[in-house]
Amino acid sequence: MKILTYVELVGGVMTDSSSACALKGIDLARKRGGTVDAIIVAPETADAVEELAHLGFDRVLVAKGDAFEDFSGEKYADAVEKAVRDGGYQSVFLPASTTGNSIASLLASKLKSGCVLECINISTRGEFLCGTKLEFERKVLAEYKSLKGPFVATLEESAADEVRPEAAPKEPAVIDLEVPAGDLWDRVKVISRSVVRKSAELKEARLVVGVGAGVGDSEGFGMVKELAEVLGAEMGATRAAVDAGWLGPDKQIGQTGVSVKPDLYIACGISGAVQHRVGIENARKIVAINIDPEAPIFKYAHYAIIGNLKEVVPKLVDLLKER
Amino acid sequence: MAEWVSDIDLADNGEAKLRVLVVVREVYDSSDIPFDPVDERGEVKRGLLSTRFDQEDLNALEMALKLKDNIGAGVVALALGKTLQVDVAKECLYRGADEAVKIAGNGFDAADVLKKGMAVAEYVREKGDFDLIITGVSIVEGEGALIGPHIAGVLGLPCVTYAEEIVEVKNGHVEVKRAVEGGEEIVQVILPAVLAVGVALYKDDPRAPRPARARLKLKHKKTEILEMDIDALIASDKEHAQALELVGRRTIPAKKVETIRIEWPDESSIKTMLASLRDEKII
Repeated sequence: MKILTYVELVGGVMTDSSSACALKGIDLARKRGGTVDAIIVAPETADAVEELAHLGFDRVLVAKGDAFEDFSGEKYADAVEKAVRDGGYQSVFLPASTTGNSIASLLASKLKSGCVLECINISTRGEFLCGTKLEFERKVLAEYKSLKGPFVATLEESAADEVRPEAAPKEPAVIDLEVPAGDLWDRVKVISRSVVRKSAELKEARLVVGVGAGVGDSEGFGMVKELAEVLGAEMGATRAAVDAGWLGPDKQIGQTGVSVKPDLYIACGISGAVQHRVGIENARKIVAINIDPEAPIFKYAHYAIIGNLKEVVPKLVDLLKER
Repeated sequence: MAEWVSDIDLADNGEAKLRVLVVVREVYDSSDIPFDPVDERGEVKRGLLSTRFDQEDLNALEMALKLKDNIGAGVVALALGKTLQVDVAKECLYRGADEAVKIAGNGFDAADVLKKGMAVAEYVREKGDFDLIITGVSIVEGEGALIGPHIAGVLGLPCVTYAEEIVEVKNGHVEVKRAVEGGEEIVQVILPAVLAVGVALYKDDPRAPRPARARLKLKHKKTEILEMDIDALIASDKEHAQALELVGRRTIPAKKVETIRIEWPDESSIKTMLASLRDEKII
């Protein structure tokens, strides 16, 4: 089996979901007897190539140049498509990020390939490759079989949970990939960008206090902030709270943000939509404070405190200070 | 609200110059199911599940209708799949779409995203005059991947995914705000183009989709929706049209969370909670 894994860089650094994707690809190739290559598409790739040298890839394909300064699904998918057509890969794995999902979908439509996004496992059934993903808001496991290759899949970080890195990987060959400019390259242009590195402290934190749009005003936010300070917890936020300006985008938890796995997550004024849930479902204990008794978060919180956070949070702070 | 700067005016005959196609889907409402959504054989419990207008597709419709409000765009809604409980094609008309059509047929249920994308692309080729195709970014059960880039890939059009808002329409292009890992970008895309909309909306968001209007419900009470057959649409390229097959589904045993509900101002229960968290060395 010939596998190609796409490595996503944010600010020149390999993302966590890319690392998981790489691990899974390498593991599959070793177990099924095959080769696994990585592809990087970026304006500058030297640091990433260095990082990839110790993972266990057979080859690292590099599509670099100013054309790849900005993310464009068209350019990036063209680069990966060129690699796939030249290299005869049976499967292409990408990280399940906004960019990974976009490239994968575009690539599959061009290759007329089977495509499954956000897989938590990849397996084989006879000669067919299969991807397993969660459906019905993560209540159901669904397995799909790719009828026509090359199979294109994006992988969630959890796909590599059981995989151990190689003990003594060999150095991969580094190969430059020339990608001719496509017809659509000049039709999409990034005008401005506001991207931050995701907070590493938040990802690793043992205690996290989450802010939702339900904090309401600066008084409510101040109370939640004090709760975090008393606990010595990191603060995170929902997309809605980031949009409302309560915390910066580096503190966003959930889809397109950080996934956390603290011992304790206290959700303040958070309804708990699935976009946020995916980022907190590995918390050991969840305490949710919300005025709405029907808030979805109460269905998976260990403690559901139904009340106005402006009354509940100061009381929690007082009780925590009492010790 | 976006500042609308436009040089796309109404044509002399009063017809809108910008033509927008919105692709919409009816989906299972899986947010609050008190039972397993699939049975022991892995079949979806269709009879027990309720359905709804896909949220991201509804946001896509709203984006199109704002174009209509602001610059007089013409909006055609294309609903995918036969109606189960919610007629999303009609719902588009009730909210302000000018026209609605549907792609369904016997071959639809087992169709993957590639086949659906090819069918939409074929419809677009036949109609031939859309400047923008807008759809939701959600991955619907059974489809496997994003339909927006699939439509774009087949038609050879540029696509902006995870689009949140159109900030400008001008000189044959649109400027779109899109979400990317760790932030957002403003992207300029030359028309015709495809947008796949994903919006994290919260209460009172000005981008929130409008409700159905009683006046339009009355107007479209008897409007017939043209239904096209998916297999007829992709007939010329059917050997390429299906690349994925569902092997099976099974319910994941739910993580048993024993939720302890505390009604404020029950202070003693909060104290018990803190004591328990301390006992477990969590705080």
